[in-house]
Amino acid sequence: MSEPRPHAPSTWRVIWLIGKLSWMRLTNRWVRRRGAKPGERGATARKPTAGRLVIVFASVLFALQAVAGSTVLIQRLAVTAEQRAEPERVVLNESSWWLIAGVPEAEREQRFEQLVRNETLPIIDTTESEQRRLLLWRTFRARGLDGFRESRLPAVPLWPSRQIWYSDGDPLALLRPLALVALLLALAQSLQHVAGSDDDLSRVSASLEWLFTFPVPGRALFLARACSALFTGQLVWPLLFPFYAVAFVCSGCGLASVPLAVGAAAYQALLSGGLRVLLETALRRYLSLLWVARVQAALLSLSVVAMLGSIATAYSRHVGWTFDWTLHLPIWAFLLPPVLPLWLTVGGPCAAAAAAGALAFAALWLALCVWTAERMVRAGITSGGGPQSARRGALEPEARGHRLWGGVAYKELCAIFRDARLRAQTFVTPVLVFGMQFWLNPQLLGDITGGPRHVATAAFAVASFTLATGACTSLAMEGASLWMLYTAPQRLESLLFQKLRVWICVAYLFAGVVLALAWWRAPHLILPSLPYVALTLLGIFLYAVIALGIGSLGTDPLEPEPRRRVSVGSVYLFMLLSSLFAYSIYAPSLWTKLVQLVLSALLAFALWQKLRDHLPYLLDPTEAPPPQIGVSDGIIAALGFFVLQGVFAFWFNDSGPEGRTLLLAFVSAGVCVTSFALFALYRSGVPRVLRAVGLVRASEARQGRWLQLGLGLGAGLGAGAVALAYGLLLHRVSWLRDWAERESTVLPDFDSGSVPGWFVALGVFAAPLFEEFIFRGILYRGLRRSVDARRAVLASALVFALVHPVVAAPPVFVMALLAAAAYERTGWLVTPIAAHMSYNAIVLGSAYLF
Amino acid sequence: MLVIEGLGKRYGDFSAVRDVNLEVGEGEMFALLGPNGAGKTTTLRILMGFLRATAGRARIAGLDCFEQRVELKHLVGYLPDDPSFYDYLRGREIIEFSGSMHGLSREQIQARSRPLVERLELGEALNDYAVNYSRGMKKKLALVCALLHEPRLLILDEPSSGLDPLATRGLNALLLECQQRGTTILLSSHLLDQVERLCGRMAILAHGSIAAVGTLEELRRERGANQSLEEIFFAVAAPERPAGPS
Repeated sequence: MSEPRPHAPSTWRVIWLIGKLSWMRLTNRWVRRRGAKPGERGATARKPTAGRLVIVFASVLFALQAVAGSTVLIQRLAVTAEQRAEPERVVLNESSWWLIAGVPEAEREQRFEQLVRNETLPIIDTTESEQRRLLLWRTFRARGLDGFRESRLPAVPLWPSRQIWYSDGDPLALLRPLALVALLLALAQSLQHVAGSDDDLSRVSASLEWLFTFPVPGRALFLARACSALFTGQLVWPLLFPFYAVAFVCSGCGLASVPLAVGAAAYQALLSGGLRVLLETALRRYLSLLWVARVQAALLSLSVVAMLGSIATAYSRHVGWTFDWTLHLPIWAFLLPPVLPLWLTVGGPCAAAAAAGALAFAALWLALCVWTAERMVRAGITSGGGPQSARRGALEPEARGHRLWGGVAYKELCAIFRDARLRAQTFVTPVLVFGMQFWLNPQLLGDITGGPRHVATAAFAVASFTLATGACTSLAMEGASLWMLYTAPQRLESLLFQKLRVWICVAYLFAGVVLALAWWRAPHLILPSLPYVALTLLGIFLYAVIALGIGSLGTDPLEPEPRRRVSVGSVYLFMLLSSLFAYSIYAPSLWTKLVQLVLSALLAFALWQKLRDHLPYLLDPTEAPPPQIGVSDGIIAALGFFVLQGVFAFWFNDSGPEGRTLLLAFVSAGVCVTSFALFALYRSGVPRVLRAVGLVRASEARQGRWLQLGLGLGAGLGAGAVALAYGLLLHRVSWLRDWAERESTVLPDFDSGSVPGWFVALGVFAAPLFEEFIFRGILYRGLRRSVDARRAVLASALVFALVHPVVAAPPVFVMALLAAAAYERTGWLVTPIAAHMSYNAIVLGSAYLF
Repeated sequence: MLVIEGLGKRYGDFSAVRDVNLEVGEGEMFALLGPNGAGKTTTLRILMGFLRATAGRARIAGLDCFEQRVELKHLVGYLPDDPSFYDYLRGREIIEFSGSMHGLSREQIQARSRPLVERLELGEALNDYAVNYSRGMKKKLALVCALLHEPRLLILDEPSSGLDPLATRGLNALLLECQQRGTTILLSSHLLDQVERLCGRMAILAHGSIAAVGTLEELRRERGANQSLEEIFFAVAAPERPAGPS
């Protein structure tokens, strides 16, 4: 007798099993298995890299920004609500109020002038600033102090707190405008979850198809899929959760804020999960695959609009429109499902009713979506094929002539123009993102055309956005077809740079459109903006390379889930770095612009070098390139050195001599960076670290140690002679002298009878020791790995000169050239240290003596 | 043509491939056999430079498979087990792309691809997007791409999987022709009868190591006369399991 057939699992059992599966996937990605040995393959192919720290840092920064943004939004809404509650008196923050309230009347007008300056100076928009100034003076002249009152809200909210919530009189005062933001966020999250970043709606995923082979009812699978949005919803935890948490904390929910925020975010995730199940089933059932792809592209664009609307509202100074829009809406508009969690901020029976309503709606919504989807797939789930289709038949005769671009570049163009999602992402999304900015901020075009620098910066901003969405994801776009690039007799980095050509052109196209618009509106800006535009075009090229490097290094091509292939932190890091380039456009001096450009170029080179190291191991789940010193190590060390100097200078700042503070800060920063760098290189596995950085002399060196030391001293003396000649020239030639005097002096004033020991210790001992370690020991070594000695010497000398004041740069450049050349000969760090020491001794000595 | 010495690939404690020694001469058709998980695909991926061996070395025409992987690609054509292609490219565009990546002109690509396409009966499908191809058609397309630049060595991972019997026969004939023109062929396959018909020498991998290598006659001499390849395979690859009905 055959065994009875086992019962199929119940719906809840299926949900439990699939949920457990999702949890296991999540934990396998992040939790190291006990006893996992080095080289052992993990759950995904992503190898642990040092870049993980940077990505975690960027992710934490993103989360903090979400909290800060939500806090600032609530504070601005509260200030606006407070003002509107008593419109006849102007509300002033605490410091402004006491500026005029705490003084006798005779002094009040003078103090009021200062108040007006304080109030209007932070306002960038000139029209708004003028309006504020007029309002303040009008009120003061008409009613004096009685025309003002002190705000009960803190002026600058550092952290969410009960103090920044305003609900006097009307408990719904803040609920209304917040509801609008919540609705936009929920819309953005839902559309993003449905349209996704790389999931192709026109195809049933292999995992879903596999689940349908089990003897379980379809409703169970659809319900489980809807519930999986709790884990797969990209915006749920980084964006929705902080928003609700801040709102609940500020409204006084106390310790319950976090669990309530978890519940609210989960609620929104479930709503979007149900929507996704419904839409993806319906689209596949009733539309052709081509139209499914188009609809997905359209939904993705809409999600960008909704996202931007919410972010623009959160960060905008002008939140009054949210009150105006929502003031006359009927109460039922605030009972829409995505808004229900916000009623928890009101408290009392309303909150309880809203919570019950939300739970009931979530259950009904999921039931409806699942039931509808199940009915649609009674005839089977669609599978196979794709959105592209063409009629089969005899091959058309080949077109004559040559394409402008072939190979990888042509393939990339095909991807952009044929893939609806990529096309929308490339062309529609930037238009929406920036178009919305103009719509929300009508005077933005006027601001952009307010000066040549603004024009160039706007062009760079648009271009870097297209690079973030295009060049950053260049490697991930290859998907499962990456193997084709590996079969070609070309280096993968070379192929990636061929792809990059297309993205550079797209970036230039958008920059060109912005420039054309700005120049059309303000033709008088064409000529003055040309130098800045040249800088921008160069910057676009450099940052395209940086985008490719950062994005490719943050890509896991073996990741089965498309939306996880590129780490979001990489894209965020790129946008952070590219925003720093704007500083070079606004920097007043040519020297600073040059420094920024060269450092950007160095960063691009460092990323290219790292990419070249890592790409051969891209498809290997465990192997990594052999650890070596790279240019990126030099950049990080130099950056850390300068930042720590500032930190330690602040720390040690006391009433003692300035030179002592400088020396302490310099030495402390140098010791920290040197120790950390050596430790990091050792931990990463660089063989014979001390020898690699030149701290230990090679035993097989051709020259003896004294000769090597002499070589360094000789280089320093030679550079010192050049410095003396340069100093003489500066002194003798009047325009050079004037120029040097205009730039900041590098040396302190020496008393005729005293030797500033601090500066001698700093200049002759500390600076050579630590600077040579960083710029020759690490940076030069990193450069030397990829370029010949001549180029490495030139590049390291150039970078070294650029981090010095412009007046000192020429002789410093010569010194760095000679020091690097001497280091190349000996491989011992003592050589360039001796060169640097002797050079500084000559320069300081000549400054003292003459 | 192909020399593998002490090749090994470890993932932590797990050895996917260990101490593989093999030589394949010019113009030979060599089969790599083994049960699932024996290390065949790992070995082929090491030869293609996708993975770096943790021990030993592999050289093709004197070029190291990892260190000189770029130069190697001029000489090697590769057919993966489950080829994927770009969604947004048609079949003929993929062939053009593959040819241009090997430095061929459009005229060369056309001239070389036409007979291959006709042979593999792909002609009508080339106007369609590769995403709409069946698995077998994708295999055929990938084979055209692998042969386009007239490689000296063909590395084929399960070339017949997904092909119908007619297509398999066509493929076999094509491979024999390539071999007659001097192309060395290294293929992995589960179709033992195909291997018996086509390949001169073969190696059977088991648990990452070579369990047996040689011509069919040599293997028979070692294992017992008149045994079929299938029986030899079972005896070598899974001696603890009963062979079952043939």
